[in-house]
Amino acid sequence: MMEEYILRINDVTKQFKNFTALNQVRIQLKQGKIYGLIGKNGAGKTTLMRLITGLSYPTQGSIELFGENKEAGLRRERKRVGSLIEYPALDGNMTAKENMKLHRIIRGIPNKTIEDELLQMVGLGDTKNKKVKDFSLGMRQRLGIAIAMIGNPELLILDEPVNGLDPVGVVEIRNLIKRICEERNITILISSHNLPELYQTATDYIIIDKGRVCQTLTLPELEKKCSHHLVIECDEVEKLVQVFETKLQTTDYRVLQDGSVHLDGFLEDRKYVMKTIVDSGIIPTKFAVEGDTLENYYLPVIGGKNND
Amino acid sequence: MINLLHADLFRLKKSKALKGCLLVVTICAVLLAFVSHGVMEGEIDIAANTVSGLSDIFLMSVIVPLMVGILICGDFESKDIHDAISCGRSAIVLSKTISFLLVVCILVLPYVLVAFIGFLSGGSFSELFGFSSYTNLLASTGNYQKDSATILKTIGLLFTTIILYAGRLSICIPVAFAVRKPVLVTAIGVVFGFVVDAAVAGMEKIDGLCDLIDMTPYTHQVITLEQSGGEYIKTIFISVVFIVIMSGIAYLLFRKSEVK
Repeated sequence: MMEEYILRINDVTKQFKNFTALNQVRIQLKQGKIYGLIGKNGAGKTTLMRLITGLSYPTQGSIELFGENKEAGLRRERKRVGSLIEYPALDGNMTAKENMKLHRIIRGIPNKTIEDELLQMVGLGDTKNKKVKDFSLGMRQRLGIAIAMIGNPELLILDEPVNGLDPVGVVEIRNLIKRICEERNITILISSHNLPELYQTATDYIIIDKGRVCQTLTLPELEKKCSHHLVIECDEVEKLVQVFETKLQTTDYRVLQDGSVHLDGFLEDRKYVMKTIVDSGIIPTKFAVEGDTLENYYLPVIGGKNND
Repeated sequence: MINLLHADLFRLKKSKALKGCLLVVTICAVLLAFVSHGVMEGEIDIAANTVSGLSDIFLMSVIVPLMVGILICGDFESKDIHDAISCGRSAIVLSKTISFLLVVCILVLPYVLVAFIGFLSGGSFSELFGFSSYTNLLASTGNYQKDSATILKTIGLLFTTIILYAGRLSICIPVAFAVRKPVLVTAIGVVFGFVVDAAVAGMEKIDGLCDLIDMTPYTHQVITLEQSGGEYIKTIFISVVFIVIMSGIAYLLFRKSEVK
């Protein structure tokens, strides 16, 4: 079966005088996935996002959006893209609803009910009539995401959406992004410095450094590369091992001295593992995926130092 | 493009800057009419240049670049332009040009109304300074019968002055797309206006150059009721061509430029 790519970046180079921001970048995005764009400051993340949204033009190469790569076609297809680049476009003297209205008008969307729907979706339904200048950073980011969602985009581009947020704000935005992707089946390209956060949000990763794509990999691939495994703790270790061998038909496990059991190879089927254990009458006191962090994996890839 | 215009109207409706500028222009226009009347009646004894700050030319040279800065550069600063870009860059320039015309109309309107009402009132007014079409119209009220033909011609004159202002100040459109900072647009617009006025004043004394300047909106010729309709049309045509050229330059500057 042919997989549908909604975006293809074909050997794109972006040159600013003597500085090459992007060098022969080739990326393909599939529908319904959350892509994490990882890179240091100045790696080319924002430049890439600006090229996709039409805020900048490539020096070489081409961009194909929803099958269109000509300028007129790209312009038309960009109406299917929502973006939040760096910080949200908000007028502090307007209320949240007025800001939504302004962007609904700019995008030429007649449906007025979308304003309330989206404000409700991002949890700002009760504060829609409050002036944006009185909003917290987290509320502004959520409003920015609501604005980016106005045209019912099929591709949502978020540049550092959790930058500067407190831990509560980070969790709010993470849950919101996951919910948007699940409920609307849209593709999300998200850049972040917050690698643990990105690890919990993205389904695929694009590692970019000095304007070049170093690696693209899926979450299972990353987990495999990070030597991830299931860590299970319970009071009946012998019974648990029996369940592994009889019901899961695997001997790929290790019992550690602290009593915890490490099970390899079942990361994608962890729900099934949990169900099998519980159905066998074992109540795990710990059931988690552990291994190297994204940060530990990412730093050597870009040639950085791993301090851990 | 219509949605971008609609968005600009929504912004202008909410704009405190526009309301503030309109208030200042209205106060100045009314004060100018009172001073003009007072000077003619001998109730006020002041030199014309002391009230030149109330004149339409002075105020428009300052306030319009300020509003153009807010109208165009505001979109770049607030990043609203990120959403608008999917409509196409030519649509953005065109919608901003039309919004610019609207802003000029709104800001000149108090002078237009004051001049029109003053003219119809038949009161006595001093011309104060020779460079304003509005004070000239006020001062000439006694010379004309207020019949329908005169009123129609007065409306034509006032419309011509609005388009002439738009033509003169349309230089702010490409400047705004190039520098994208409201303060810079205001500064460049104001300085350019004064420099061009001074240069034109000097060049008008040179034969040949005078005709050339008359082919631009920067002519020092005051539009009066004595001029023919054809001359009004010529002024409108020159101004419109100038606005089109300025919009074209703005598009060329913006067409492939980076948007932050």
